[in-house]
Amino acid sequence: MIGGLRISRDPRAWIFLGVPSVFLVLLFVLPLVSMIVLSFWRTENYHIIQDWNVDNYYVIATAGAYVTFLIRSLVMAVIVSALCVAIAWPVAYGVIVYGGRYKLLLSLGFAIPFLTGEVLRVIALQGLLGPLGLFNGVLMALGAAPLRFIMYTNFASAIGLVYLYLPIVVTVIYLSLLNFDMRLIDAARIFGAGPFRGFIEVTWPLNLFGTLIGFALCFVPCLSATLVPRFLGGPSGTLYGMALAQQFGESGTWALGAAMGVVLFLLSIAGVLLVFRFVDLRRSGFTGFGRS
Amino acid sequence: MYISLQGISKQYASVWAIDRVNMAIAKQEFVSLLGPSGSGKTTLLRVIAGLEKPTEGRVLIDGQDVTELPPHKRGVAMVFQEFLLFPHRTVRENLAFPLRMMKMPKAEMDERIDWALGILSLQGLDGRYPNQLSGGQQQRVALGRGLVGRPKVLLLDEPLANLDRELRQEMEVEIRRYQMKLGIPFIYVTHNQEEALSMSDRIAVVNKGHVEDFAERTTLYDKPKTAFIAQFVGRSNKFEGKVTAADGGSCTIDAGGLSLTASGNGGLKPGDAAFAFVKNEKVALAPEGFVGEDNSLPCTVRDVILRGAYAEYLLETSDGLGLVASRPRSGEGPSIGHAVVAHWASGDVDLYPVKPDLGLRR
Amino acid sequence: MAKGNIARKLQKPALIGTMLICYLFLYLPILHIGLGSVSKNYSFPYPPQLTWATFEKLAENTLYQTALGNSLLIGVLTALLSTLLACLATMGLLRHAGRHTVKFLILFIAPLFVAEVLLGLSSLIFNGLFLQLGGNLFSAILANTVHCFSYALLIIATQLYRYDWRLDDAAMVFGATPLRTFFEVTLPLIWPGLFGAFIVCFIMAFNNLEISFYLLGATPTLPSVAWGALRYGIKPELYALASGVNVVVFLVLGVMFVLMRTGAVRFGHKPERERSAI
Repeated sequence: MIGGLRISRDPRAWIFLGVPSVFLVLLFVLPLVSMIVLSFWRTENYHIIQDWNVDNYYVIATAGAYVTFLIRSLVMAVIVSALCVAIAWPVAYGVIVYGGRYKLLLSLGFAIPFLTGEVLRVIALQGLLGPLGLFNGVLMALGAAPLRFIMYTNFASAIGLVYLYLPIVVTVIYLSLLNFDMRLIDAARIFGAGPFRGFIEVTWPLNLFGTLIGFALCFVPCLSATLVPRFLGGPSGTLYGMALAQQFGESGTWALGAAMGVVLFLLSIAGVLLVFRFVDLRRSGFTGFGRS
Repeated sequence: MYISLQGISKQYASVWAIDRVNMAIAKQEFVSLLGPSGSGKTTLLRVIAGLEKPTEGRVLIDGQDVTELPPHKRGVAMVFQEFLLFPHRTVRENLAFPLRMMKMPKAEMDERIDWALGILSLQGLDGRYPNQLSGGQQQRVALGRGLVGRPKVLLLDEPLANLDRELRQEMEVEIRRYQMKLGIPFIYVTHNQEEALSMSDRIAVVNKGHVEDFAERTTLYDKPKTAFIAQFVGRSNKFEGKVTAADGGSCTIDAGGLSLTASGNGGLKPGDAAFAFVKNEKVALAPEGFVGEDNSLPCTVRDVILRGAYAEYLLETSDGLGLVASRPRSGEGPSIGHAVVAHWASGDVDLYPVKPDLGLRR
Repeated sequence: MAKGNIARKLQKPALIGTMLICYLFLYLPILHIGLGSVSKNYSFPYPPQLTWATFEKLAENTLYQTALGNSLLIGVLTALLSTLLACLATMGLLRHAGRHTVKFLILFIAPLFVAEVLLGLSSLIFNGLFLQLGGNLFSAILANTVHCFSYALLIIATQLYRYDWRLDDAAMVFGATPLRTFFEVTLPLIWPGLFGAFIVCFIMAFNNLEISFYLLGATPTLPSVAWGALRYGIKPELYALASGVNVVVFLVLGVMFVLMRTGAVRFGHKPERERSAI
């Protein structure tokens, strides 16, 4: 359909698009802007003082701890996201190819853990990895010593984050593969591509967009993780998100927290943009949002 | 006139998809809008339905100006190419839809639906859902949904395009029958000239957003008004050349070494560039050595294509010029490789000046 | 060619093996604490000594009761609001946005790419500092709606994407007003998508901590109470709480599964036989 200019003439367009847009601007964009504004003010004895300065950013850049947390978070987020994608691909592919009539059940099986919420899943993880958890319980029942590296370490945090975000990555890649026409692989095979070649030439590029969305949806929350490092990471496992949340809790240094938030926000956006720079939408089989 | 389109134009972005269309349609008329895809015929139909608002011009139905009315207040009905039956409703519920919108009493509604089921031979299928019907049955339901409310006009948007050939020819007859029975105008959009020619009283040939001609079907076929119509309606041999001589009664054209004589001059002067069309069925074949009439051309038969009652002979001159003759299959025709003489009367040559193609108005 | 054959033979067991390990990884903790929550020896219930005591204790706790009420309220209102807004937005995107589609799409799914903790904190700053509003349930609902809206949009879009808008044309040509068209034709065909979005949003908002936490003030919700308790170490009540919520989520998705399986509802899920039509 051709109808590019209808938006300005049709009053319904303003209701359908305007109401949600106004809602998002008021409750999403404006709060983010106010966070940016606050990051240029300062807090003194739990009071906000409106004098414009960049001290908060100076503190983040020079106080070694924050930079350490930030780098640790970035490394953690990249590793966890890459790991999730690497695990999610064979799983989603397996569900599609071998799932048969249980495909739907298997895919819903991944949605359930995602929907039960972070706190409750951290509790479940504690039950798995904690000092009194399943792993160590089994080891102790067998008379072995408890494993130290899965308790209160960065390794435990990584397992925790994979546990939290693997379901969404699997679901996104699964949906991408579900809309992918498997007969294209047959076509590639007929013209002489082996299974691996067929995958590289056809399957992977056509599902790259979905894969990257999965990566981004894992990367963003991992970068700002607060719960997992707090309960699984232990003393040397403080991540940036946790330090950020503390500024609004115990420390009461809101302005510094806002600056940390801005840095986190910019890094997430930069990460997402960087990832999506690799995609040429026309070559990824993305048909746009209109009906073709 | 019952329906009248006055100066209808429709602009999308910078392109005029319909350009100053004027048409008047009588109450008992079956009118086809015939044109290639992208010509604007469907847009024109949607303007009449009210699904698109014209950028300029007025639409009048039964004397009332409906240009500003939304579709549901126009009292029209439409049959869509993709049928667009409501998938969550049974056949009966689909047929009831237009009647419910009119707030028709239940008893009358049932009567009407049974009437529609009857004339479309859909009895026994009224409890089925659209996805339980064959393509032909869906088509009948779609048609029934169009007829059941006795609309002021029925708009049909390529309703037969998704049916196979046999079913299509059967439906052509049926649709024409319903139109004559109900006495309401049908406006039928198609890109298929056979459909248009077999059903319509009048045909409007639409090209690049404007109506090339709106005429009786025989006139349109026998005396095409423009080069586009000559090419689009019927099957013709096309020649392009220069006028070498023209007087009141006849005209000679040189088309790549081939000399053609036409009766009438189509307003052309010597030196003008011209198109000449000769319908395939006007080209007669004679044995080698035949001389006579106005135009005769020695050729070789390259191939013969059987079309059932008639055959098409693909011919080639010694210069490599190709042309087609279609002849009824009575007795033995010439076979492949034979030398023949193709000939036609000068009165069967349609001449048009070559005009620059302006495309859509911008 | 021998190499290719081995790879082909290994593919199936390797893929299925990975799948099984992943499901085990995801469900082992859930099953473990589930068993723990109904056992006296909750931290290592092998063999389990069954008891409902923990659940009874949980049910009697008034703090958890209040928290449950608040979480339900947040869940229902957030789900309603985000489904409604996302339905508007999706129809707007598909029907009215024209060449601006991509711009609106970016705005609408942007919340997906902003961490929950930032959504919570920035709303806290905006409300507390610039509007001088204290935290309450209402602001938590609105902030959760921002997050859930994007998810709802994606779920509804998968359903609406395959909806043939010309059916609306058909209804209007036969005399239905735009409102009537929506209720008679559009809604009956797209409600599974709306319902799916509602369920998912409800569960997400119900369980949310990071957005709600900063906006609630002193109002307790189930996740915030659980979070508070978790700081003092694992207790059997937490196992019971998590298991209780897990069972409810299972039941809800189980009902959805049965509806989808029987074909009553599709939730934008594309069955195999339809795919050849593309």
